[in-house]
Amino acid sequence: MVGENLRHFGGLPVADFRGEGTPLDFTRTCPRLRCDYDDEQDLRDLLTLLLDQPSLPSLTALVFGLWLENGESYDVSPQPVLDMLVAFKLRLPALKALFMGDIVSEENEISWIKQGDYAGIWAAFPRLEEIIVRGGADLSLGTINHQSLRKLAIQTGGLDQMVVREALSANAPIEHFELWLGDEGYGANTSVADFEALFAGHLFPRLHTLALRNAQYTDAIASALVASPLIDRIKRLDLSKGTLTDAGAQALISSGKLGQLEQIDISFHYVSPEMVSELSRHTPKLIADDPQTPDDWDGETHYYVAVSE
Amino acid sequence: MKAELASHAGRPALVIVGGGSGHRAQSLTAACLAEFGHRPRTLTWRDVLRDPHHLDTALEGADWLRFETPDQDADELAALHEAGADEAVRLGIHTMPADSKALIASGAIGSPSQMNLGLHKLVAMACALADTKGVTTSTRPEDVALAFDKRHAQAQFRAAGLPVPRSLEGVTDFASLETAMDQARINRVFVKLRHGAAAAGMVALARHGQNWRSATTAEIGADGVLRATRRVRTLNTRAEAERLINTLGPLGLHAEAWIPKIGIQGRAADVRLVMIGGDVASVTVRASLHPMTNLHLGGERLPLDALTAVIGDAMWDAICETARKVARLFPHSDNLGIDIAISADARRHYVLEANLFGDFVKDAGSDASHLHALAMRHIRHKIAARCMDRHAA
Repeated sequence: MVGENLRHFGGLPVADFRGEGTPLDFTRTCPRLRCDYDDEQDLRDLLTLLLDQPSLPSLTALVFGLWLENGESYDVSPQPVLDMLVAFKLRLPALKALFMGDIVSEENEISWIKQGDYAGIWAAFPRLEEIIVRGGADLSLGTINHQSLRKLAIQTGGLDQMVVREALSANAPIEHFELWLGDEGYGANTSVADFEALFAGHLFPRLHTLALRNAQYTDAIASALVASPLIDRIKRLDLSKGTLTDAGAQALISSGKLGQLEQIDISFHYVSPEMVSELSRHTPKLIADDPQTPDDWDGETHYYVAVSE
Repeated sequence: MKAELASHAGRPALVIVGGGSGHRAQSLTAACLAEFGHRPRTLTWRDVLRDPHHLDTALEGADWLRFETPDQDADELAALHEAGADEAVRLGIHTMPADSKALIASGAIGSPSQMNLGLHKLVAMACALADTKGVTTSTRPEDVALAFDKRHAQAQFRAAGLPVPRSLEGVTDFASLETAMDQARINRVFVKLRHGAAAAGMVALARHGQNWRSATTAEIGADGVLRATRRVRTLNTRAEAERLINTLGPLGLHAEAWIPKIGIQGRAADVRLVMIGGDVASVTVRASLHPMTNLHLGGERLPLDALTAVIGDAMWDAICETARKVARLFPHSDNLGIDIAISADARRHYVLEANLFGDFVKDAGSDASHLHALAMRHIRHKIAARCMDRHAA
């Protein structure tokens, strides 16, 4: 589950925006536009209100939360909002950080968050450095040709292969690449083979942080990554929310390549305490919170990712 | 003041009905000893049902009668079911067989409405007896009737101008639930047993087109019996939701909008305020990975600071003020547990439930003894005030 809304984004504290009476100094605040089940306003109403703010040219970070129409989330797309952003791009000249879908499980299940087509965003906002998208249903990134984009993160409970391909095809100075791959019951249909070109080192020459999170095949990712040239040039590895077991941890250790990493995060994992200690000895900084135990039923052992439904 | 008490009636005597056993009974006894210098006279609900003469004897020369929750004690729950049987039959409510103890001991939810009728009947009887002897009681039957009926309580809170989730009317089974959701345009609901306690039989349902997801503590056993579990399960189909709601339906339902709770430290959080004498005595912030935050279902306690850091002091003050207003609707009750949800955007808060056995927080640990000490001090002050009134008169 996704339990908590953003407190900070784009280097600024996040505050809900509802026009007058809410923080309007966007050099100090990142506004979040969100709907409420007990309210009639939809995101377009709120965005219209935002676009009329005189302080808009200073806005660098923007968050969109729960989107509803007439109090319902079903079949409600953020596409009108994405289209409005593109249409009014000149009013947001300083936009550097965009989060589409700061929606927690109490508001809507991640697998039910309907997304949109981001193809128009890239050309409209050439100064965009960071984008985070939550929800994979109907998500399309289009072709990313961008001069500034350093961080790309897609958070889903089940990510489609097409989106993974679009993300990996990004022509941008990516430093932080993050995917929440998810559960096949919720639309995940990738495997470690999808990351062959990435691991071979052909993509993202400036990559610093690789975050392949929430994966059903974390062990395979660990094994393939440490056998690849990419491990030699990243600094941070995030395999959290996934299904890392002793086998994957052993592969990481055996590679002898962990010493040059600044940090590994495996939180929400299935690694035994002994192996966590062993991994910790080989890693400058290991984060291994939230250990899990697999479920046994029908004579089989099941490893679940942290975020699916 | 102590001297005056002593001169009036010796050391004030406390009678407790339903004090339970184990840790809670020990904690209550210790608190009573510390405050009054002697043990309380304790009776079970079963004693009261079997032979009211027990209570009559215990109340002789007593000052205060305190009622306690049966919690999960199968004997006590069975006694309360038994006490409510006649009235349940008269009202046409789903009733439990006469020998329900074994079923209840196996975790069966039983018939909370029937049990509540029994509780109401025994509290009314005990209060009537106490009145004849000038013994003050920790609550009154009318407060019992209001607090433990979620449908009635929510309506009263709304009428008093207190913030509550939107209620769905006329929900008796899955079909009527769907109709009510359509009419109210609400796709996320909590369905609760009308007289349920401790999240027993509670279901959080979300609908998304043809997809349904339900989180629940209720389980239908192979024997067809509804049981409350400590494990929150997720049901992923409409058929499972339908079967569960239709099985819960005959027990009496209350349905309301599911307020998206505020997230703190990666968990959904709400707050339980324990009111003693109408004011906030203790606060428990509960946070969970499940829609139900109850501590016995895996909820974690967070420090109050973690909540106020997110919602701000003004919102916290407003929550406390709401809790005091709720307490005023229960003027005859010593203590009250009030559950309040804060919306994910921290703009609104909502009264979810009030519980007359509010200073009993499941799995509260050391908090329980602290609350029992506060409760005993409150009783002593009330007795002292009463003595002074009588002297003045």
